[in-house]
Amino acid sequence: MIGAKLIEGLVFTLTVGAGLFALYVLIGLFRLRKDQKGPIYKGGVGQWTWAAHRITGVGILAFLFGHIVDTFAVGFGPELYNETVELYKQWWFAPGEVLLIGATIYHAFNGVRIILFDFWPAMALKQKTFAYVQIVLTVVAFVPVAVIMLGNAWEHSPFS
Amino acid sequence: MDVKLKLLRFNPETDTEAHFEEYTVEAEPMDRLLDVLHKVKWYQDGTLAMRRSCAHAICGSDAMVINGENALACKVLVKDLAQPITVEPIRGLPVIKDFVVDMEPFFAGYKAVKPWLITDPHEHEPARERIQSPEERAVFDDTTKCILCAACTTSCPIFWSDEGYVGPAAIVNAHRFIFDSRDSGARERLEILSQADGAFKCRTAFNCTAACPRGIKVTKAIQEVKRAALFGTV
Ligand code: FES
Repeated sequence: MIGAKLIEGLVFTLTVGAGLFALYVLIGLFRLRKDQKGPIYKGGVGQWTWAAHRITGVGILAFLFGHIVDTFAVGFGPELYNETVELYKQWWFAPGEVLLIGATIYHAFNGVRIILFDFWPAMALKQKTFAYVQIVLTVVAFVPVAVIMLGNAWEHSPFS
Repeated sequence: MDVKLKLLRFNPETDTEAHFEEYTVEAEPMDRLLDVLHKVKWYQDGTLAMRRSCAHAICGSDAMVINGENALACKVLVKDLAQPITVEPIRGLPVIKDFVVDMEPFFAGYKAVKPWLITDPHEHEPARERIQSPEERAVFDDTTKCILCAACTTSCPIFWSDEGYVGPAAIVNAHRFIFDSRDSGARERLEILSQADGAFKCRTAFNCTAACPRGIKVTKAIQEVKRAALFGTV
């Protein structure tokens, strides 16, 4: 169906666009004035968790736009919708999906960490410990999911 | 020992963009970076522009980006720095020349929070001594240490992209009065800091806390101000 192809294309563009836009945001975060070139500010774990929080946030938001479009397809009947979400089941789409899950897990854990500082200012003194705990939690939650999903995608890929 | 330096130079009269220039200076390991910069300025290139005054980490004029991080040139020793030592002006403020930046936006944020004692004449008779317990004093002790060097504010990624943000230094100085038991301007200041350019622009990146040459727990102070603004409690 031509409609499905169109919507599929739109979802695809938006999703890839999400990734690119997230990259663009990363560059924007460290934008400098013309009279101030020089390497990126070194900063500590706080700066980098903050940057990653922004990038994952923007990436997830941009994906959401694509997701709104695919859900919109359901308004035209189940065939169109099913054909559109076929896109997500393609083996080559899996890495993107894994990234999305990683971004969400990270954003969630880091978000909780930030909220803790807001309500208990004294926790700011232990910010590095909190950051490392948060990163470990993210990895622990993310790795099994990634292994399962990528393994699945590998089986369906033409390479296996 | 020989010290290699990479200095970010910018002369508004001749340059369209800033560029790095390299220098080699003879120095002792226990020399401060400021001494080395002096040697460049005094013996190699008199056009190097920078600010410094006390040379003892108290006037706050020589904050710079040193090897990628904000610090006072008069407070870091050459032996503790990896070579070549790169020095850039602090970020987010317009560069006037070399390491001299226009501090006006920084001070605008500072002034915005009314950094002076506000007293209520009805509450406090000027004729009487105003007692403050050591416990009451301890609440804002940390934020009295600020020397307004701008190392915190110009290490803040939010400030780099948004000059309107009052910045960590302004919030630290607001904290100093908001939590002072003798001051009655807390409500006023919290109102100012609750606005779009106020304390809530802080996204807890913690660069400010690491950059403060006085060791002020900047982010913690900002969080206390946010909390006070949120719940109206001091
Ligand atoms: S020269 Fe005064 S603080 Fe460094």
